[in-house]
Amino acid sequence: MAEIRLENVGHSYDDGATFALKPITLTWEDGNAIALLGPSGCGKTTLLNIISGLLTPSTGRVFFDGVDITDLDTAKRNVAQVFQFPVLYDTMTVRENLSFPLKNRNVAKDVISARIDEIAELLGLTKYLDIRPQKLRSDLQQLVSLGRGLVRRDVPAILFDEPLTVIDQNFKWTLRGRLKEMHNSTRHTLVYVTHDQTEALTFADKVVVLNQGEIVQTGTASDLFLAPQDEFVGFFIGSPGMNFMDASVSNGDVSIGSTLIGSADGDRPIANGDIRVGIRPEFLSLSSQGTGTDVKINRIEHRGGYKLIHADGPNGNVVAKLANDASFVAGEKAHLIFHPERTYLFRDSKLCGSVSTKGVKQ
Amino acid sequence: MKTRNNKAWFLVLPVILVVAFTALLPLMTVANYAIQDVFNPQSRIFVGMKWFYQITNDQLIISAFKRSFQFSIQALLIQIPLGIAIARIMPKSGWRASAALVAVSVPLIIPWNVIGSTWLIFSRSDIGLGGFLLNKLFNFDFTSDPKDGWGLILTVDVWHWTPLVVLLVYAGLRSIPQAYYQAAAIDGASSFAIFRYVELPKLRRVLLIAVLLRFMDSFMIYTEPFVITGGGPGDATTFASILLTNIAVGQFDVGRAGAYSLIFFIVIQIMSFLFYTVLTLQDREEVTKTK
Amino acid sequence: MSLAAQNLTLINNGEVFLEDISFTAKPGITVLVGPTLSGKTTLMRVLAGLIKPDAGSITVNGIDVGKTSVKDRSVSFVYQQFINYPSLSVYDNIASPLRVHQPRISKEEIADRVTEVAKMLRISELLDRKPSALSGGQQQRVAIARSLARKSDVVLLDEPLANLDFKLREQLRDELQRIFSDASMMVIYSTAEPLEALDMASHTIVMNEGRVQQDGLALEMYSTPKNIPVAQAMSDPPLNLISSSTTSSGSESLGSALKDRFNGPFTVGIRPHNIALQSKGANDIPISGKVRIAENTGGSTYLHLDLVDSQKLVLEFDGSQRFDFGSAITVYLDRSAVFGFDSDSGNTLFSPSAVR
Repeated sequence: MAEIRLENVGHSYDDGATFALKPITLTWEDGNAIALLGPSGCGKTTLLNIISGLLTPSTGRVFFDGVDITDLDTAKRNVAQVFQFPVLYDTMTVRENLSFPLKNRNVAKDVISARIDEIAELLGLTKYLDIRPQKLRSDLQQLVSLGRGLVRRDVPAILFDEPLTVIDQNFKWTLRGRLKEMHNSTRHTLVYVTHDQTEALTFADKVVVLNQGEIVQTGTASDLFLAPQDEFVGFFIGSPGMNFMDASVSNGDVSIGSTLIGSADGDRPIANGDIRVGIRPEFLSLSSQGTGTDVKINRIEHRGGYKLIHADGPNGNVVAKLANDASFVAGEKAHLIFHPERTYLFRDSKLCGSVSTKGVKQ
Repeated sequence: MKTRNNKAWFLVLPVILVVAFTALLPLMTVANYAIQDVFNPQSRIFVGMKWFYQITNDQLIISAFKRSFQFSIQALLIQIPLGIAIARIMPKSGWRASAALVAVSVPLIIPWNVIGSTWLIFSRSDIGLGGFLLNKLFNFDFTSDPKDGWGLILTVDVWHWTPLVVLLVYAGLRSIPQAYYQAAAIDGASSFAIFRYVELPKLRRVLLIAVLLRFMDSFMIYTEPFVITGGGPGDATTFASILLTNIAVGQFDVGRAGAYSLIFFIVIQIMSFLFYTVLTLQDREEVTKTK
Repeated sequence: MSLAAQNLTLINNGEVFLEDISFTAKPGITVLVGPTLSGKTTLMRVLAGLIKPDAGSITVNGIDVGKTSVKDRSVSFVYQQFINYPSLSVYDNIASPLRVHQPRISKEEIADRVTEVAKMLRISELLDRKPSALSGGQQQRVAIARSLARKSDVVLLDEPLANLDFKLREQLRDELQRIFSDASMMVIYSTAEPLEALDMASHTIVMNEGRVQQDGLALEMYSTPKNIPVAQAMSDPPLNLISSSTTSSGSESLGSALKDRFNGPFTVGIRPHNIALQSKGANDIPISGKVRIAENTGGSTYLHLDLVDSQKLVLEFDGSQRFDFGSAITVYLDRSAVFGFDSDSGNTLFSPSAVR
């Protein structure tokens, strides 16, 4: 278990013409579960491979517990890594696959067998231990791959590269829970790469959101959901993502079109001019009474536990997430009600303040 | 509704014709000779299975087969491991990889009889550089010492054909996804363990092809011993195919040679089938995959 | 126009892959929902004519296509993997099936169709590129465009979004729905995610273990599933299933608290979002457990509890809250959202009266 520190670490696959990962500096505390979240091509796997040593960064240094290990090769770093698709040793049984990392490091036989039993139990592989993994379904194969990553106790970190991609929907839930439970008891430093927000948010103590080779925001699930610092985070976290509407600020008043929605509230005064209002579907509601920003409802999606109301907003589609008893129909006119604490202002795609509805009639 | 379209069969027809002319008809001719005693093109008599009985009891022929078999086994035992070893240390990318590939392929693009002549001259203890040195050091003389003659032919075969194994294995190694090497590095596997548990299993199919090709070719070896040793010294390098030519062309014993050819053909078929069966045993186990 | 399957059965090496599958698909989207290995892909391949069924028939517009070869059927197939011709430009990729089409299609018509579908899938500006220069989402758009350009009667989409990023999936799903919902062709769309079926809000077929479990509207199956496999296939996060003998509060069991719904032992099913941390009224059924883990997604939290008899329960609530692992807690099941299933057959005994 170790603290991981990156100093100015960046990587370019084309000798510096473009950076797949722009130089970053950060520290991850020992024992934390970290998720690297972003769309494909955002640099998250590059970052993971730099930590495991499969890739040497173009710039910067990597430290485990303060020791510079940038030039150390993968085997010597002693980290564990689980890949996106099953990577197995064909000629070995499941048991031999699981014990391989321990055997290579000369762990005593009885320790190995006890550890294998424990991991097999955790992953539900006990009854498959003595057959070859080739004979298993691909999701079970991935579990064996996962098991090989978890089997060592003495690793500074366990790295996961989208490990649940081939796992069945329902089983994903169980498995993620078990991984989290395991982390609660062992407190390994875990780094988990994924494009799936639910996986990242539920699994990690801290989520690092990456986009186009840069870290956009780092925070807990609540930070990212409730207070996105960047429009990208607003859009990428949450399903569906945040609604954005063009607005303007004039002497502290925020208006969408000609409708005043509240007053701008920021750490620093917000200058007059164009601005974007961001609000999550969870915090947006609709009303057919009174006045406000008018919208026309165009589609209602009933998702079972809740309804998504899609409406034509002042500039583009807006979505509100409402309870099952919301009784709007397509074609109906309504106006938007903004949650007073959860309506944010963005300028140049960065968070700059929020909208306070105090003293404003809706 | 349309009836089943059988047009595709016409496309296969040319291939069937070519195969008939290149393989089936000559084979039938040979089979025809094998059951006759041919004195000259005008006079021949039907002898039934006589040649086959004779051949299977002919010590000369049996020992030639044994010799070929021994030679093949030795060739395989040297060429397969050597080929794997060379393929593993070859550069993986860049201009060095291309250069290495070209260098390795050279023996494969030289005409066979040129190879024989080159080695013949090179190994002669009177005028050949290699032969002269070896003669001084170890008293090497392939024209008089049966062991030296055998060793020389084996060396030539290794020199000539190991590159084929190298190319096959090299291609096989390049097709192993990088993730397997990465996983092995993470698991702390030694270089030997990587070879044993990652590369060897992934090379199984390629090696099957290499073993089959090398077995068949080395079992039928002809040009090199013909040019270099002529089957000698004594009958040390009189392999099955050399003896066959002696019988067919030298003695013009066409009927006996025909029967011999058929037996030769069948032996190679059986051996290849055995190799194939043993080497694909695991594949067939996998077919019973649990879904 | 319609596509009908009658009693399709496929058995291989004694293993049943499809069993007695019958359904009718009308123009528009039909969603096939089911877990991995439920037979969705096999059924698609049978519908495409790539596998011959051991029994049963497939009719398109009333005509049996059982003896028609794959290339003569008016079917296009989009796979989970993005399959395009790597050496052809996007334009040529989309045009390729049209160029070999019989009867011949004129060059102008091909150009028109390619432009039209490219516009529909928003890849107009990518037409000159090679597939390798595209992102995964764009590659899948090209594959879908190719299947659309053919204007075949049947379009089969086998988990087309499964290999895409979560966010891209969301986007493309909306677009596919827009494109296909008023299409004149029969679109069969398979997925493992119930949300996709609910989103498409159209004709849905739930499959499990090679059989059709239920056929109807997605929301209908969500609220009144026929059996446990359907209820599970239509629940994400997974449905909680616990025994009715589980102690509710004090000495009362869940079964006795629900005896007005069903008298006798059964399996209780309830979705995580219908369990709450606080009681909302006398209608709720309290149940105690120990906190195992809490997963916070920012907007909501999934709390995993251990019940008696190593049974497990997951509940979802808005917001977040701190819990000590292993601490005892009482949560409340919304009585009106409970399902009852026969413990042996898995058949539904009762469902909630409204969509919950």
